[in-house]
Amino acid sequence: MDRRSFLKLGALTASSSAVGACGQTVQKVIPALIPADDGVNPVEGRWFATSCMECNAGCGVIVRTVNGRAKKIEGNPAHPVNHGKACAMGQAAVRRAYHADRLKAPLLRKGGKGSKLEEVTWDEAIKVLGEKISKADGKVFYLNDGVNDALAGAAKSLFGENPAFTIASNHAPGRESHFAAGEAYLDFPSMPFPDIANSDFTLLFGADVFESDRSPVYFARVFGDSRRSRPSARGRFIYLGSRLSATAAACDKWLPVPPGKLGLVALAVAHVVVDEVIIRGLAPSIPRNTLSRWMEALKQYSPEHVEKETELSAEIIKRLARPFIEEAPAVAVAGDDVAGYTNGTPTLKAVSFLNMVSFEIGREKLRIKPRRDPAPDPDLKNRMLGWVGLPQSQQSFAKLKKLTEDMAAGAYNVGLIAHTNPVFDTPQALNFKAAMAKTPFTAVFALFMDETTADADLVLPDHHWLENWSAQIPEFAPGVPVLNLVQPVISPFTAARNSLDVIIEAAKKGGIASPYANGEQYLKAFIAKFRAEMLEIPQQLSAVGAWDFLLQRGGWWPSDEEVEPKNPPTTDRLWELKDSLAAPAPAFAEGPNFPFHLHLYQPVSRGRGKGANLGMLQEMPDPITTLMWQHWIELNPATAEKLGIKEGDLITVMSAAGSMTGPAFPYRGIRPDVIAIPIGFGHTNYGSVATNRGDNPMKLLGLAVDEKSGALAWRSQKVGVKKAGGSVAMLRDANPKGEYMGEAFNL
Amino acid sequence: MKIFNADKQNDYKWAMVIDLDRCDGCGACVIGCQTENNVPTVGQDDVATGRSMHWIRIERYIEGEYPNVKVRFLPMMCQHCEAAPCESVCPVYATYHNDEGLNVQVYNRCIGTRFCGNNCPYSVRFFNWWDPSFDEATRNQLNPDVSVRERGIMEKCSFCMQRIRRGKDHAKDEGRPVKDGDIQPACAQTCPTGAITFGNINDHESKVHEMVHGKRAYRLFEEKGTHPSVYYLKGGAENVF
Amino acid sequence: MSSETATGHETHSHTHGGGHHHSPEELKSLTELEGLRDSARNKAKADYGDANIYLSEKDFNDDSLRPMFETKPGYFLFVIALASVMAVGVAAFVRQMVVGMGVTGLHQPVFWGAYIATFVFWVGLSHSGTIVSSILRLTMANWRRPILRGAEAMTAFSLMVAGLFPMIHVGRQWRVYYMFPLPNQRELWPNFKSPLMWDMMAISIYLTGSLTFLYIGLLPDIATARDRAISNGNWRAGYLRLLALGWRGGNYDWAVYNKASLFLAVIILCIAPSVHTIVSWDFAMTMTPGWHTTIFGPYFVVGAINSGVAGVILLMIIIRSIFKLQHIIRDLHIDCLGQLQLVIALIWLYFYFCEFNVTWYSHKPEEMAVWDWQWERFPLQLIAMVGGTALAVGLLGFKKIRRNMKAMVAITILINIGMYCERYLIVVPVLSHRDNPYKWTDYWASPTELSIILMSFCFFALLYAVFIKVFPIITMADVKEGVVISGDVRLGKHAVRVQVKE
Repeated sequence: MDRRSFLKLGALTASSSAVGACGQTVQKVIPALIPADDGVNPVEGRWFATSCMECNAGCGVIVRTVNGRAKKIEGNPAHPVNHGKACAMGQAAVRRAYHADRLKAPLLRKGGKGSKLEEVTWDEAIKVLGEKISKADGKVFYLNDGVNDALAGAAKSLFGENPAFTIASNHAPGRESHFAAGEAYLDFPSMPFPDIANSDFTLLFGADVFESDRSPVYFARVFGDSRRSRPSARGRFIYLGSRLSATAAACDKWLPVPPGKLGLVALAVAHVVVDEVIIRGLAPSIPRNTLSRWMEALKQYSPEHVEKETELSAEIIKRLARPFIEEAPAVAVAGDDVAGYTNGTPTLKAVSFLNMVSFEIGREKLRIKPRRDPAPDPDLKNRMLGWVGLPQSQQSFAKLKKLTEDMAAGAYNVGLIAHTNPVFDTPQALNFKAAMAKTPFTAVFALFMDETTADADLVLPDHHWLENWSAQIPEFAPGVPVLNLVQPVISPFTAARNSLDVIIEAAKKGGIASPYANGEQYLKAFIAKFRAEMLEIPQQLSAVGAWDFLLQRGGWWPSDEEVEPKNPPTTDRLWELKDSLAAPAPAFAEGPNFPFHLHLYQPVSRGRGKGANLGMLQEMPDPITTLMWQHWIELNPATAEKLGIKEGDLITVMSAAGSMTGPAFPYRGIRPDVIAIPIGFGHTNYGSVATNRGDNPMKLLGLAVDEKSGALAWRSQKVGVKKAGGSVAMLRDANPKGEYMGEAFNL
Repeated sequence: MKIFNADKQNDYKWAMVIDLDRCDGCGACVIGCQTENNVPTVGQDDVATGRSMHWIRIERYIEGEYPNVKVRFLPMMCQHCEAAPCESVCPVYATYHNDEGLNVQVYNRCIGTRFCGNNCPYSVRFFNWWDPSFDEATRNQLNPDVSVRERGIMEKCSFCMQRIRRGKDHAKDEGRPVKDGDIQPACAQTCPTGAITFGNINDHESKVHEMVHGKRAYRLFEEKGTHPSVYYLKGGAENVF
Repeated sequence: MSSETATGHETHSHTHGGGHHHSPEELKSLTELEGLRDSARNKAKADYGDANIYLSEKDFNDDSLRPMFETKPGYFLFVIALASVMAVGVAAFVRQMVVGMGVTGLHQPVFWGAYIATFVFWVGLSHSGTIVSSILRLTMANWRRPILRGAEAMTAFSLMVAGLFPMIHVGRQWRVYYMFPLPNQRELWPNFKSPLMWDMMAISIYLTGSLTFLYIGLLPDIATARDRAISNGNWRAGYLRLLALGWRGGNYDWAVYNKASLFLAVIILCIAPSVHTIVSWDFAMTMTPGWHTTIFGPYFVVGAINSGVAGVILLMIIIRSIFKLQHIIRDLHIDCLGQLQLVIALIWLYFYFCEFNVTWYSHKPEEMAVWDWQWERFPLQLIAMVGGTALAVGLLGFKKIRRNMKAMVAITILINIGMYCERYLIVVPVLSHRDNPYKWTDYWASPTELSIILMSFCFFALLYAVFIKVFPIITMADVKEGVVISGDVRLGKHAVRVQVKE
């Protein structure tokens, strides 16, 4: 080969390989050579139906397991609460079960109060608890987080015979006000169940329904359905309240209203609506004389009257009322920014009244189907609640307060605390810690060491609900009685024991006879009782068959078809409500140097501090502030500027009850007279992830309550703010400038 | 809406529709994705330097001044662009388009030049700055379907490729094509408001096909010509009350 | 007259300017001119203070080879100092590789940071050497002669240093061979559509070309050094003998040498701009606002030459003052380089004007985001970037300044600080404030990055320091050629120095 042909060949080879390389050939072989699903290895998992116990909402879930390990939690598609959906906290529950901080063995203060917690065997732990129970003289209390589960039911059935026994709950604030209002309208203490899914217009009165633990997933679902699932109309949402919460962000419009004044707005809207009903002759189902009595009661709440106090113009109030008259179905939903004040219950009633009138108008226009509200058999639901724990009507902050006072007075010999952390998440003014110290013996069922567990005399590591047998009646069921069953999905991760077994066994050792040898028998007996009432469960099934039937479904609930209420609410009842039509002025825990309203709130998917020990939830950006791993104090930028505060500056918030410090976060979506702080931060003893992250705003709260319901009026505190000196970097996901550039960048 | 490469007749072309009118910013998708795809939590220090690794994140934008403030949520994940800018710049074909419209990331091939991340206008590609840290306990939860990525490589939303494959396997076992709704990525399955819909856009009966041709459909940075496979339905309305 | 009369190897009997094959007529005219030459010499001395041009060849060789053969203790201290700073950088790199890229300050979306900025800086710096050398060779600029070697070596070494950075920067160094087009049965090639592949190829071609260019240019000088090493019994004789490839300085040697250098000069001149254009395409080919612009190719090339010429000037001044070579690398050379710098700097300012004006005038939000952020976050760097070059333009017009070595050191350092800032401002602000405003961030280089960048400067200095000790730093053959092919021609009353072209 001569040089010339060598060069020619060389050039040819080079150019052809270059062309080939740039062409499609390589691209065609690449998917075969470097497979797209390299590293993807779909494993067939086993799915189990169970029920999420992370909060009180009671979602049904299905859990995927592979080789005995839980991998993923999804919503149970058949469940009436969540319809196959799940929230962030629920999905993170697997990480709670597989958590390095899980308690591994029972801990006992062998030397009594003041000594250290030491590891003991289960036999010893149960023996000690039994001894204490036998000597307790019936002076036992049981405190949980308000979940109506089998453990509460067992505690009640074991100790409840003795009048000295008390069962109480440490639940999210404001719940009992809803019950009180519900009772007035529905004859039944239930959360109101407005049919948002089918309404064109929803007025949210401070209802942070996607954030509170009422049932964020349920509300999210009906929100989506209202917005875009109906071809007829796009559901519109208006949020009234003092802070633009994540829920308000999803709404079409936020209207700032001074704290505690939402009742006035509700009644002013009702005033316009009733006035129009009378003028236009709408809702013939309501007797005219009833209407005129209402009008009489509403006279002082005309838009023009409340204009000044609510800072909403009469024009806006009239516009808010229009959909209730013209475009029903329209509904109003009340939430924390209503229930959290001393006038919570009357305000909730005002909102419910608005709903009732709207319902009558809508029914007349045949634009809505009658809802399943109230439940077809409210009595059944009440009885069900009784079987598994504390009737909801008895769950109140007042009861917890009384319990704490009695504990401090030494009224109880043995305390049983299950899955709740009152030392941390009740107002520090309640001083539950001191009360616990005065109780000779407290046993705590817990998964993790936390502030309450650390003060206990006996720590009983419990199963996570993924490892456990239990049953639960959800607090917020959409108008129907729902029974959730909890079954073990994974083998226990630690040497914990099912609290149901432990409590029955310890009671037996303590001389309290129980018809059930263990938790399983208790549950089966419970199911048998349940079946006797619930004719919808196939009756031909044997006991075993019925048990399997329920486990496969994850529980029991009525079939999903719409049920015509047996006794639709009569207008007579509405007539009786005229007494409720009042919006008393809220009382605030004032002070000379406290110009701001304290607005505590539960951040999305972190609960009241329960989720704080999960890195995954800590790292999930807060929807509003986009902060991660960090606590913050929100205030209006104008307020911040006046006080010379910049983002990240450490500020101290003071109230008559106490003070706390944290970094400032100026946020436009908050009234200038309001300081908002998320709760659930500031743990002092909750594992490495949560401890010393932020400060506990519960220090700021006094013990003001809603007079009618006894609920903690946690929004009625007034506070002062001052710079604490120094500042910290804010761990934002959103860029502080870029977050205002969405429109400019077509995002 | 015109669909890029629509004439290319494959059985499947995966697409996602996100209804911004439904999104409530709750973050369920974020955690759903993280638990499904073994996405590590990076910790406080790395978050401070902007290294959070949420394959899907809820972007939050603020408009207006008090009291006329509007806060909007925008779920953002890999847009699986048909004309993906990240693909052409990868020197080793660690990211390319497969014939089902997925922008795939092959972890074993990636050498970590991070060029793809630089060419992604959506900022949805994530780099493993460290080896992922899953403690002993957490490892029990890791999804065996998906590999855990080592340090030095890029990763991003895969449209839950493991679920797509499982869905297709199931359909094949039953001798039928994949039905609409058979396959759901973790985010779509969990989204409480139903804001996320996933499906085969080449199936003209599918929900996504219908939604994509609705009036509200648009894509992010359409002017850049990336032809994303993620469609957004415009949120909000005039004269709300 | 052909240049073959210039001897490559050392011939002590010869004095400067002596030619062999002169015809009688030529000899006669040379004798006649002898007196005039003396006066011209005196005049040159009076005018420029550098009558040293009439050095004897031995003196010239002695002086040129002194840096190579004579080593002071300070040199070892210097090398040890460089090596120890480098050791820190190497340790930082090893840690980065073992622990992860997290030790850098990089994050989403600033996936490229100080490493890539430094990479571009070094590639840029490499541009002057060879490109200047080949341009000057091709245009027969006479003043080029002594500085060629220094400039070419700078190219080779800064390219080597630059080449380190992509390796340091990737996430999985142990998989970097995926990028190499290794033939394999599966026909699995890298993606030739990726600018990074072009980049890798361009740089490796450029490095190969520059090294060859450097080596070919070195051949006659290696031979000279070899002869001296052999006669002195120096240890360098071993490798010099090998590398001299048996150079004898015969006609054939020179003919091949001349052809090869000319050929390589042409090739390098073509490769060099393409290299930096391709480096610019690493940025311009993306769709990132602030990067995606057609100006980037020439912009990078001119920027590279701007930074490179400044680098050459600086290095030359340092070398001549350390090794006392002011009579070989004379003020004249620095002056001429200064003029070149002035031209390039002017063009560079013009590019700045184009870039800024276009961005600002169109006022596109995504580009203005970067613009605003630059001014907010990097005002000093921006001032340094434009100011360095603007200052050079303002001052280099004056001969006094061009011949004031302190001023030239200051100006060239300022230019290169500005150029480094420019590289940084191309990479970092664009990425930190790119399309998606939600993910805008800030970026700070971490101690790891800083120590590795410092290491790169030390590495460059070390390579250069070692080079000076193993090869002649002055392009001796070229200088001698210049002497041989020039002479004084009488035009009327005046004697004029002329250059004979080949």
